[in-house]
Amino acid sequence: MTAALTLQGVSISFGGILALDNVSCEVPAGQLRGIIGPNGSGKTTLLNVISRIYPVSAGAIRLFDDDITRWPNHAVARHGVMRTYQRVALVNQLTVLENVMLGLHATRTQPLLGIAFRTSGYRRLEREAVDRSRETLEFIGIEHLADRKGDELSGGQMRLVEIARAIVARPRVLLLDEPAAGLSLVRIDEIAALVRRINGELGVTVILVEHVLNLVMSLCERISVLVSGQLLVESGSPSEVQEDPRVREAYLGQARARGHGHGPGKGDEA
Amino acid sequence: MTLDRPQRILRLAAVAGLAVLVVAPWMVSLYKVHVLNVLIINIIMAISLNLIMGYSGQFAKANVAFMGLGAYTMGLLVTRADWSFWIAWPTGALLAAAVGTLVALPALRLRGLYLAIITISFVLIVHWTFLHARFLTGGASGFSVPHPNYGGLPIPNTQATYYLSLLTLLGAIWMVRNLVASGFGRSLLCLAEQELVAPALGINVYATKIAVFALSGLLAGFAGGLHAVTLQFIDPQNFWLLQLVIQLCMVALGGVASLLGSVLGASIMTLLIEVLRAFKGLWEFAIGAILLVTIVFFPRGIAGLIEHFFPTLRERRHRP
Repeated sequence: MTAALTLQGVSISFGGILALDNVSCEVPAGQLRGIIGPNGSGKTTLLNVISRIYPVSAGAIRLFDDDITRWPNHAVARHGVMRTYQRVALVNQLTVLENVMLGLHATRTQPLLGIAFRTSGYRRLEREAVDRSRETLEFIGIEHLADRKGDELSGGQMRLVEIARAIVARPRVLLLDEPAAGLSLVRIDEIAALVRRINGELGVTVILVEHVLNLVMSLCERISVLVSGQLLVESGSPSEVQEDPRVREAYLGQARARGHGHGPGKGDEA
Repeated sequence: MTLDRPQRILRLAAVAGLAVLVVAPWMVSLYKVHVLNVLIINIIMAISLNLIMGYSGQFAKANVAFMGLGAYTMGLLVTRADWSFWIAWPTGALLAAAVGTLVALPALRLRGLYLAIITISFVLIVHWTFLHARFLTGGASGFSVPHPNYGGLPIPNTQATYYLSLLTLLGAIWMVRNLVASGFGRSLLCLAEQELVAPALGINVYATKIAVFALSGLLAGFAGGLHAVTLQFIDPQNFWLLQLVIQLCMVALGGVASLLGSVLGASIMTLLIEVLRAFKGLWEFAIGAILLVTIVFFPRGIAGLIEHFFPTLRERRHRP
């Protein structure tokens, strides 16, 4: 199977602190991969490295056949890596529909002169952008929100809009950074169903970073476990990960360090 | 597309306003034609500044220098090199746009206050150059600029220049309206609100910033040339910090990221300054008070108030 994303010995340090330490893993095309790990283990940093927000200190990142390690960050998006954020990042001056249209920037750049003079070619691009964005809102089931402004939405709706923006251009790889954070259980189920459809129906490779472990365990075929910037488990099935004593120790150890008073065997966060 | 009531009223007001501007030169005194001409140029400047400060949220304040470069380039080419105004004017605007791209370079790295300081320093440097390159610019006493050659146009020069400004304004509004209701406009707003997210959406932040600075410089350059032939005089004091503050005030009062706001803000400020001119020192005070009240009580300006009460009048960000 072809690998959608390959990380080879990726390291990154901030002021002497190694946030990612020699991380190597491979995500096959079409997989729904979960990444778990205790707070501060480097999960979001890993996503930021893949979407080239941070330059790596060492190692290489491949997207299908391309080495994207040194690419400018907008080029990575243009080659089909889209993402969402832990703290939702919508543009509040735009409507929901227009926020989703932003996601098409990656693949459909409109020529500036065409825009300035409203050529027929540009108008066709813009019409297509509107249609594609409406279809995506319908796919997610939030077409009724199309004309609302970004700041008029609930937290759950914002997350759905952000996912719509990330998938409207049919990315090859979708990076989801804690899409369930702060949501109610019903909402989490909705997100889970949506992620499954994005992976299944649209065939998008998904990398899901998440704190809600039930969600990851029920959703992902393979799971990577990141602890203190190192990959403890490169790729394991949910049951393998759950039974791995090192994973339990990583989570429990952290709980103990925080002084929660859990003895071994109790306080089973994992 | 069907229009609702506020939209129809706005359209009617725009047509009425335009009609007034078209017939005004034949109904009022020459001095008032001059004031209206300055008003039109100020609207172009407010749009130019709003593109950078409002739409793309960059704290850059170099536009008054771009305007000066447009004016001086045009004026010097006409008076020293005997160029026709019709070639010298766009040349000045293109030079201002080119310099705009240079000023965009620090904006690629700097943000907020630092960018403001750098760009204000740029205004000071340009002004200093106008003032001290006497062999070229005439220094503080400036120099006269002739009317453009309007060929066989059967109307007086003052009115002809007025109509030239009006046409330029209409062209600028049309083009900027197209730009802000497109993928380009949406990426500008993304830069303003979520600069770190923009590249992850495939937006080339560098190219977008350079494009908007060039565009803003181009508009300011054209406005500068018009300003010179309207006054028939070029003087470094017209491209100084006070003008910068007045233009900031126009954008803040009218409303950031709004064309309607730029038009209203520039019109109100120009007329206010004109009315208060008789009372020495009063209009500077008025500017300060307006800026303060706007920023504290309605930070999105008049356009923000209008949009609040009539949501359908929101400026469109897509127009397929």
